Amino acid sequence: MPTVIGIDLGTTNSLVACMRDGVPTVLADERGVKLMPSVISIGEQDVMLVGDLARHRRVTAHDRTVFSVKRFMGRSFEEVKDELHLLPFLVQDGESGPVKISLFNREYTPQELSGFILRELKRRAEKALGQELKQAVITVPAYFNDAQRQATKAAGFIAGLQVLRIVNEPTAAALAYGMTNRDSGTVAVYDFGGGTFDISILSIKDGVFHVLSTNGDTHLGGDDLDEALMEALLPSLPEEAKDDRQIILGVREAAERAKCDLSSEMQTMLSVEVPDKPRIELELTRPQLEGVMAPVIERTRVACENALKDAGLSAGEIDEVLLVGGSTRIPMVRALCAEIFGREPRADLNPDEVVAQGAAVQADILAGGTRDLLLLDVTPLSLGIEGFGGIMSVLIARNSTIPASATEGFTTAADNQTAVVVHVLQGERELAAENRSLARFDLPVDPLPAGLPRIEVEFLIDADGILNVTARDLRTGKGQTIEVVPSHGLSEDEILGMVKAGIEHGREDMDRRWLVEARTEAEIVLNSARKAVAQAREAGFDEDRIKRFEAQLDALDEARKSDDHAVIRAEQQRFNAETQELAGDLMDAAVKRALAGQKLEEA
Amino acid sequence: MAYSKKVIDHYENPRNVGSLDKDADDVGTGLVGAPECGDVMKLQLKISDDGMIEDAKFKTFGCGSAIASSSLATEWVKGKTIDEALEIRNTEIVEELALPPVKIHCSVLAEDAIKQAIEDYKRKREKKGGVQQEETAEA
Amino acid sequence: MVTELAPLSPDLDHFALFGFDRKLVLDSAALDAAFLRLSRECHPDRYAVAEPEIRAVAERNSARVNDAKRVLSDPVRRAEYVLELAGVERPDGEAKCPPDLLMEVFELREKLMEDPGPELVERVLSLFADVEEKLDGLFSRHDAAADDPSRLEALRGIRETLDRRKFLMNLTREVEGTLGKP
Ligand SMILES: Nc1ncnc2c1ncn2[C@@H]1O[C@H](COP(=O)(O)OP(=O)(O)O)[C@@H](O)[C@H]1O
Ligand SMILES: [Mg+2]
Repeated sequence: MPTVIGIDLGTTNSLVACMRDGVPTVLADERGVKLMPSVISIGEQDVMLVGDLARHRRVTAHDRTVFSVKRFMGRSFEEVKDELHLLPFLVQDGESGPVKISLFNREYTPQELSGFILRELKRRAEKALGQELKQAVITVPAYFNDAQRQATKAAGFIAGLQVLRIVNEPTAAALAYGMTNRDSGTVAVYDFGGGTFDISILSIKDGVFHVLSTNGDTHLGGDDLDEALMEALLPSLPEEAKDDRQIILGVREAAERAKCDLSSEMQTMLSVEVPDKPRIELELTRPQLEGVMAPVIERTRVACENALKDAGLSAGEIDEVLLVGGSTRIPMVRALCAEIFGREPRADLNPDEVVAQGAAVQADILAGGTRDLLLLDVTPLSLGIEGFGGIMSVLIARNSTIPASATEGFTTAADNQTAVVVHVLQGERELAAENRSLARFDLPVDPLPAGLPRIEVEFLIDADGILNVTARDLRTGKGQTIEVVPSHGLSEDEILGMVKAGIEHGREDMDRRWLVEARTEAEIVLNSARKAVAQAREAGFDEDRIKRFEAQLDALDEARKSDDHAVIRAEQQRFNAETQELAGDLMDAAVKRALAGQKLEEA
Repeated sequence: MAYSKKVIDHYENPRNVGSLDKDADDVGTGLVGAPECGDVMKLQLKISDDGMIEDAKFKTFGCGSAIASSSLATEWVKGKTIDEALEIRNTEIVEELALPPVKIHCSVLAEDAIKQAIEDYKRKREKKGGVQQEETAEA
Repeated sequence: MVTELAPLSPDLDHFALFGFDRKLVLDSAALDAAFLRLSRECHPDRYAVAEPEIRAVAERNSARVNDAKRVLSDPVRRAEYVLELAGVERPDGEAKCPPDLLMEVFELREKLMEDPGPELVERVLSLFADVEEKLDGLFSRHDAAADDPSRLEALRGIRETLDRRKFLMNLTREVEGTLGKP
């Protein structure tokens, strides 16, 4: 039985997990880190860096780094254009195809970029497990539409993975939870991550996980909190900083750090550090932050209420509330959750890992390992077609258990008409134009007098939540499958082309990759070491000690130029060991300074 | 798709919403409903002696599709003769739109309502004609 | 690994698929149990690593079970489905909707628009309750019918009552919308 991996492909962070001795286990990288930032950066010699290394380059190499790619998956330019001003990279209209994201000297589709993240996770898992891996389960927000799911599946293929299933993130979380808590009951999963919000309500009984309803917002997450905070901070920045792209990026990073600090502290020092620019420091308290975040967090309430309504339940009938996603660490979020459901949410799950763990459980079910669990999920959005007068006519209602199907008869209105236009939509609005247009296709018909052709079209939403269309001519009995390329999606041929390119990429020179990775890592260490030097001087550390440190630093900088990655790594480890003490002292000094609560000042 | 836009416009800004005096001699009223969706529609026509439709009003309780088609139908029939109005088929719209004829029951309502209103008007005329004759006879 | 999977027979109606008689009053626990049994057999998760053709059959079989469950678990959809199976249709043409029903509904809606007072709300809700009760009676009558003619008669009554219910349902929604307003 080949191992199938479970992947949580997040907006902010991604993880890979698999079942080991009956336990869903998140796999760590070489340094023991499980969370991999969903960031991609083009390093030296055009080597694609993914994860932590790339994340560190968000400010220093902002013109070569992209992140939050998941926000663009399966979306049209029209749908994303309003938030582009917040992102430092260029996103262009791909017209009928996916949007194009510029990265250094090339344009990529979101599918390709997500493919890089997936390939890196695959590589990690292969290293951890010591075997080649080909099959995976990938999670998506429950509220993802057909196009977004198809895009995710395509990304998997591009990364050289056979995607056995697309699983909804909250459902996966419930699965991981239910594995260890074998009681029956009704649970609400509140998943608030970096870019998306989902709420799902499930009944769990005798190993059957039955999703009753789901709701959410695919554009609501921690990113929005960071943005809100950044906007609120802008007026208190020094004039000359306001138009500096790099500083603005730095403020964003600092805003996120401060937001996270304030989940456990009551006040913090927000500090913006950009190489070669004066440091900016601002003091921030939790109540201040909460004032900024409240309207954003409040937006999750209505989705919860709708989910309850669709499940036909009142808040009092929920037995457990599970929290998933990094943003549920925010006390205000927990409080809102407790208020909506009238009970304290469970705090014993790891909100970062539980989705990946659930994906691993589902992967094991699919591989034939776990046999006694059954997962029944739903489609989050109603599926329909455009009918008379531009009105959407619903074929499969939201929250229908999937797979689900509907058939609709079609005929012609004019003599010798050779095609009927079918316009497939997803959404809850009455007007077709206000819903997401999934695809528009021509249903071929034989030229006959009007009304004579009888075509039966079957719309089937499969277990991945993806639409499949087949048509049958009732007169001839001839059947055909119709390839539904989602608007702004990739055709099968395009995906195949990218898969090929991916295979090429997979064959790249590993020595070169390791070298670039080692150099990048050394660079990151050097950057923070240089900051440390400045801080040490400022804090009045012994000058001799600083000089010795600087000598070490120069040695690492020299070693960095080597063509042998092993040399660089060894030197870096030596540097880390030798300078650990000073780093510790510096940290202490910084903490003291923060506690002393220095006011708004520029160093 | 220009046509579709026009229909949507009727959906968003329905024309001719309201009532005419249902007891007036020159007004015909049609009341129809679609049990499939529970929509009800009242459509009224004011018709001149020479059979010209001078005014049309409707009141629809139902989905947007029904409202749009009622609005469209009232626009169409104004200025037409009774006979021309009876020719109107909702399939004409569907044809122009090249759209699948789903949810047709809502749009058929308008067609039925026009027919009923004209019948109602004719019935009134006959009755009135009858009464007049009687009156004449008495005189 | 599974190498063979037969499509569910298209000759089975939803009731037969679940192993039930064609009854309008169904035990929901029995329905749930039958649904789970079938789901365990059919769900595509069981065939995820099988050949594409087999996976496609599993998707379709499972969709079939889910579609049937959706219809059977809702009394109104279930009744509509039985009417369809029995070929009971509305009498065509103008008698499609009894004019007095239309008149009643239209007047109620107009009044509701002008003055949604508590009396009117009360009236609409009680009309709806009446129609639900009548429907329940007809369902039992259908299930207990000893012969085809009496079953057909019950079904005709159900057809008419379901239509009335639909109009009143929309009215009730309207009323509840008004009630929901602060
Ligand atoms: N302690 C914390 N307090 C507040 N927010 C946090 C905390 N830890 C992480 N986050 C936020 O959680 C988000 C990432 O959550 P994650 O679940 O990994 O997202 P995704 O699944 O979308 O990748 C980020 O916006 C991050 O700022
Ligand atoms: Mg997540």
